[in-house]
Order: sequence, then structure tokens, then C-alpha cells
Amino acid sequence: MKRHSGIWVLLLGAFTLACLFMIWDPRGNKLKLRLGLDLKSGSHIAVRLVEAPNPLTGETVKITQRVQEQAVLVFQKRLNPDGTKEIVVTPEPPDRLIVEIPEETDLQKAEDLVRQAARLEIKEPRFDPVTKETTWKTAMDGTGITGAHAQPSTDGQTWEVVFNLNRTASKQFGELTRRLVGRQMGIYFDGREVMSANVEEPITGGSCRITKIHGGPDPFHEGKTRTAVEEATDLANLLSAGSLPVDVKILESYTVSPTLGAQSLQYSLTAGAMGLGFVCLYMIGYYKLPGFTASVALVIYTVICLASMNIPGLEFVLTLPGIAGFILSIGMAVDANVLIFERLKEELWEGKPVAQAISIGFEKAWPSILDGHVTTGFGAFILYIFGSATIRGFGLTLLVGTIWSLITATMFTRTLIDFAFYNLKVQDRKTFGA
Amino acid sequence: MFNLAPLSWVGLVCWIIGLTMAVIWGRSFRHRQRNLMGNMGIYFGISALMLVLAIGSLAVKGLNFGLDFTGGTILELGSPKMVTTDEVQKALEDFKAPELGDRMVQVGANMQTDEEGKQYQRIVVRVTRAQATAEGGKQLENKEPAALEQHLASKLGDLKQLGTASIGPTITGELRYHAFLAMGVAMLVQGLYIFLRFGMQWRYGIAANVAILHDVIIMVGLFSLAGRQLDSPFVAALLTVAGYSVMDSVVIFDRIRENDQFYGGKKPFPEIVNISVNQTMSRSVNTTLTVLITLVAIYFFGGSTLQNFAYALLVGITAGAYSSVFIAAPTLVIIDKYFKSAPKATVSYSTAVAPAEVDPVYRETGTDDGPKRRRSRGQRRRL
Repeated sequence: MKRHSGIWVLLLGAFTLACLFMIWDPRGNKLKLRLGLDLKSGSHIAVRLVEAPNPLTGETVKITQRVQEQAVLVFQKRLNPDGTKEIVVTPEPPDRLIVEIPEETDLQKAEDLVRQAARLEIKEPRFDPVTKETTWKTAMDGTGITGAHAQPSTDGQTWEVVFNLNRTASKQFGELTRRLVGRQMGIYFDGREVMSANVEEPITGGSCRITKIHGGPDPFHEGKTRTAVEEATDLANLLSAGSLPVDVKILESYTVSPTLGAQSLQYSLTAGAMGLGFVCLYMIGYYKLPGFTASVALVIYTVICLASMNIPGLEFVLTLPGIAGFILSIGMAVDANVLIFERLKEELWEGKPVAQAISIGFEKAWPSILDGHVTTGFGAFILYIFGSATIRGFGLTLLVGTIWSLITATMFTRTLIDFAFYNLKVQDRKTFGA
Repeated sequence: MFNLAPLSWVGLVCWIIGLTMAVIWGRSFRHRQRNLMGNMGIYFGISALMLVLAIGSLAVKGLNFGLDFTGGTILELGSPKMVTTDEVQKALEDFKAPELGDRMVQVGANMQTDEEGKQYQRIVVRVTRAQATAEGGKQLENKEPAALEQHLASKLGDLKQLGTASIGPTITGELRYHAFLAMGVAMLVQGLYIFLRFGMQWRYGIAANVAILHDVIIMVGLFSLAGRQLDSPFVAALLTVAGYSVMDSVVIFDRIRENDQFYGGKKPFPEIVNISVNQTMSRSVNTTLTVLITLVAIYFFGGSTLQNFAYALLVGITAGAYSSVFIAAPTLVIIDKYFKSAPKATVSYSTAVAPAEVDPVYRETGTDDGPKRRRSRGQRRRL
């Protein structure tokens, strides 16, 4: 290792540069970091799926993994009908979904979109000859809908929504309408009557229209009204996204405005930069040359850690608690270096030659470094496993930081010190802190 | 960036002076050794005082649980003109849809600038509903947060929404459960690791866990004393401190073990502990210092969101650094004294270690019998 320090330093430099380009775009001079909602802006909603009876059979729909996956798809389509937004819906066992909508600060609208089960039911009237009352019974549900769109009606006054049915459903619908010719049929959406109409002739083409939509009070916004177009589009979106077979309960929700997000980001980056700067200054002031190499290793450590958070395919997101955990890990990363250099100093005071003191320092400090990292790593891992979402981000960055610091503080610092000692011939005892 | 309140500047300067003094003190161990284990009474006294203060505060003041633990709704608003807490409280009084239970208001001390260059003052309103929902939730639902915001805007003038959060009863219940679970598991796992790592000697694990308990109680107690809000990052801070405290103790234990093997039965255990603590003092001070530097940076420059978190860690890590030197190591000595795991020599403090004027405290009355101290792994050669 001693004679090849130069090569190692080159490799180290190349690796650091590669990591740097993972997080920094030189053309736009921009940092490419995946930020959490709390550092930009958006809405976060945590929901629980609740068992509900199937309207046709009356059986209870249990929350299974399949139902959860179905709900993820439904939410994706509903919240992101044209697929242009970066909406993240994550299923969380056993019965949770986390919905994150960047840049959306209208929490109420998002909540309403999530809360709706969007169950379409087509009901037929049943006349009871004994009580002489008409009851409505569900004859079909909306599971067979393949698509829906809004269009203006032919008279130009109102809007309508056309939805298409798949083959089985259209056959079923044909039979139903044949049975109901001359009588009434009701279309219900989430238990609310959307329209009822006289069936004039059997409908067998597999497409059905909800007509006479002319706007009205907006259920998403208090005191506002929707135009006919808006109402028709909302309905069409909900219908084509499909229905949820279960009910939804909101557990937790929050929004962050761009102002707050930008401020949090700026503050935490400032704190991070100052923390890093002060620690480096202190290390150089106290430990001289070894301190300087540790500072270089620390900067490399920062770059590598941020790059690790950016590895494609891994869903690491940098959140505010995450940054705090990371800043903390900077302070802890030099811990190992302090251990090594203290030992190095001790050996130098005892009169050992520099080269020997360096190897003893690294060798003797190793068990303590390992113990320290393992215990911290355990703590971080437990946080990641048992913690709630906020804590998990913190645990993860701390864990990633602990793993990398074990490598940077020992191997990288050693490489740099060896390079300074053997290649650059910096061999004065004073520069090593004696 | 540097627009700190005058009081914060005082705090910052105090921290810098304190840290500098700690460095000078730590460095002084290079030139002379101190009889640290001779003043155990003082250390335990200081800790007892802090623990009494902490537990007293917990009993009298209790904890100020944050939204994560209590459930409820928070509105964060920006006001273009300065308002006072009383004004906001007054505006909250006649909001009746729904009836509000707890009402807490915090207003920023000065104006801040947003991304468009406009000035605003930050207002944080935390409320719960008087009548819980069917599921026992205390948060505002559906259109209620927006209604409250409009109500406040009608009383206080133009307000800008910075953020809202609503937390229901399921989440708060889980958080409490997970916090305790994580804490318990962490202590158990770390204790077990030390037990295995230190050649199945349970006293190291016990001493480390005594230190953790000490740190955690002081941390929670001082949080209660400061009246700060206990939120979920606090739980993370608690576990970090537990981990850090262990790590700090482990380094000293490592040295104790090394010296123990080196001196064999030639020196009494308290003296070996004393030598080890002296040798690692400079390291103890420096590692704590680097962490504290970053925490001071987060506390003073990291914005209000991270301040609670940084405060918790500042208290916890300072306590952790203190406890590993002044609690964990002495505890080890006490365990060794009362639960003799091995016979040892009748030796008082040798003058080479303790300054002559310091009274030798450890005068073992036992007899010098038996073989050398237990040795878990073969004796290591000290280079």
C-alpha cells in the first residue's frame, strides 16, 4: 500500500468525482437531490383502507395485498389523470397507503379525491306489492367500466359523460335495460343519485351516457361552484380511474408551502455547511496534517453520502430529519479520526518514529472504532425498522452515514496520510502533531 | 442567515466559550494525570442533582407533548404585518365550527423574507377540537382547517398559508408504542453487543446502560424544564443519544480492557480505570466537541423546525459525554468493588498516578490472594 499510495489517491479522486457528478449537474450548476415534501412543497396524506361490503353480493371485502395494489392504481389515475405529475402512492403494510403530491398545496382537494370510493351503482326499482313501496336495488356496479370521457351535449346547453363497458358488463347492461323498458333506472355514485331516467329501449352497444350535467356547488371547495365542463370532467376522471372496493379513512395529512420548503432547505443546508466547515477547521487546528487529511476525507464522505441517497432505483428521499441526521453523522464521522489521531499523538510522544506511529495509531484505534460504529449502526437500524415515517428518514441517513464513515475515516484517511508521508515526503514530526 | 436574536448571540458565545474551555481542559491531560476516580462522590453528586432537577421538572411541569403525540391540527401562516400571540388567541376565541379544545399560538419574533422577497411573520396555531370525533380524533377534518384559516384571515387581515398538518388518533397511538419499543430494543441490543464484545462480562453492559438511563432521564427532564414541545424527532434524538452514549463509553471500556490485560494483577482495578480515563480524556473531549460543533450549527442556524431536535441532542450528547467518563467508568469501579469478580491486590493509589496531595481513596482491605485477574482473550502486547 505504501508504494502504491499514488495510485490509490488517483482511484479515490476518480471515485469522488463520479459521486460528485451523481449529485451535481455542472451545466446548470444545480444540485440533483431527491428532496422530500418538507423541503420543497406539496401534500402528504396517509390513509387506511377499511373493509366495506360489496354492493352486489353483500360480502365483506377484506383488505388484501391485491386490494391495496388496486387502490394504488386507482389513486394514481385519479390524482394524476394525464400522467404528467410526479405523484407517489406507496402501499404500507398491512392496510395503509401514503399519498404524496408534490407542489399541490390544496390539501382539501387532494383529501377529497382520496376519500371518495367512486363506486358507481346502477339500480333498478323493485315494487313491493304488499307495502306498495318502491325500493331501489343494485343491479350492477362500476367494475366493468373501461373508460369514460366528458363531452358537450348535442343541444349545447349542458354536458354529459359517456362511459364504456367491457363485454361482460355490456351484456349484463343490455339484459338489464331490456328488462326495464318503460320503467325507471337509477345511476348512483357513491350512494348519491347522479341521474334517473326512463329506459326507452334496450342499450346493447356497451356505452352509456349520463346526461344533463350543468354544474353546481363544488364539493371540493366551500362556497365555489363548478361549471358544467368541470363537473363532467371530474366525474369522467373518477369513473375511468375505477372504483375502490373498500372505504378509506384519512389518518394524517399535511401540506408544505413553497415558502416553508425553500426556507427549511436553505436553513438546513446552511447549518450543514457551517457544521462541516467548523469541524474541518477544528480538526486542522488541533491535529495539523492528519487533521487536514481527515477534513479532506470528510468532504469526500459528504459527497459519497449524498450520492448514495441518489442511487437510481432506491427510493431514498432527503427529508428535513434526514438532513439533521446527516449533519449529525458528519460530527460522528470524525470521531473515528479523533480516535486514530489521539493514538498517533500518544505514540509520537512516546518517541516512536512517525511511520510506526501512523500504523500503530490506525491499528490500535480500530477495535474502538468498530465498536462505536456497530452500536450507532444498531441504533440507526432500529430507528429505521421501528420508527414512523419521519424517524425512518433520520434512521436511514444515519445508517448510510455510519457505514460510509467507517470506510472514509479509516481507509480513505490512511490512504491520504500515506500519500502525504511516502509520496509527498511530509515527514516532519511537528506536522503530525507531536 | 446571521440574523439571530440578541439572546441567541449570548447563547452562541456561551457555547463557544464553554467548548473552548473544554478543549483546554482536555489538552491539559497531556501533561499531567488526575486522580479522577478519587472524586467519585462529586460526580455522582452532580448527576444526582441533575437527576433530581429532571425528575422534579417532570413531576411538576410535566411534558409538553407535540402534535405527533396528542393529535390535532396545526396551521402555519404568514402575516404581512406583525401580530401578537394575544391577538391571535383572541381571534381564535369566537371560532365555533367546531368548538375548539386546546389552543396554542406561537408567533415569530421578527419578520422573514419569502422567495419572492416579501416580508412575513410566521404564526403557528395548534388546536384540537373540544368534542372528539367518532374515532376519538382531535384533529380538524375536511373543510374545517380551511374554515379556521378564513376565520383568522377575517380577523387578522391578509394571511398566507405556509403549511397545515392534521394527525389522527391511530398515528399518535402508534408513535407512542413505537417510541417505547424502539428504545427498549435499542438498549437491549446494545447491551447485548457490549456483553458479547467484552468477553461476556456483564458489568460493562450494566455500566453502559446505567449511563444511558442517566442521559435519557436528564434529556427528557431538561426538555420538560425548557417547556419545549416533544415531537417525533425527539424520539429519534433520544435513540441517537442512547447510541452515542454507548459508543462513548465503549471507547473508554476498550482502553480499560486493554490496560487491564496489560497490567494484569499488578495494579488495582480502580487505578487501571483511572489511567484509562486519563489516557482517553483528550479523545473524549474532542469527539464530543466535533459533534457539539455541528449541533450548535443546527441549533443556531438550522431554523426553528430543527431547533427542538438540536436542543434535545445538545443536552443529550453533553450528558452522554459527561456520563461515560464520570458515571460509566466509576460505576464499573463500584461494581468491581462490591461484586468482586476477581481477586485483586491490596494497593493504594500509586504516587506515579495520583498527585501526592490527593488523598488515596481506594484502599482495598481485601487480601492479596489468588492468581492474576481474569483474562478473556490472551494477553495483548502493548506496542
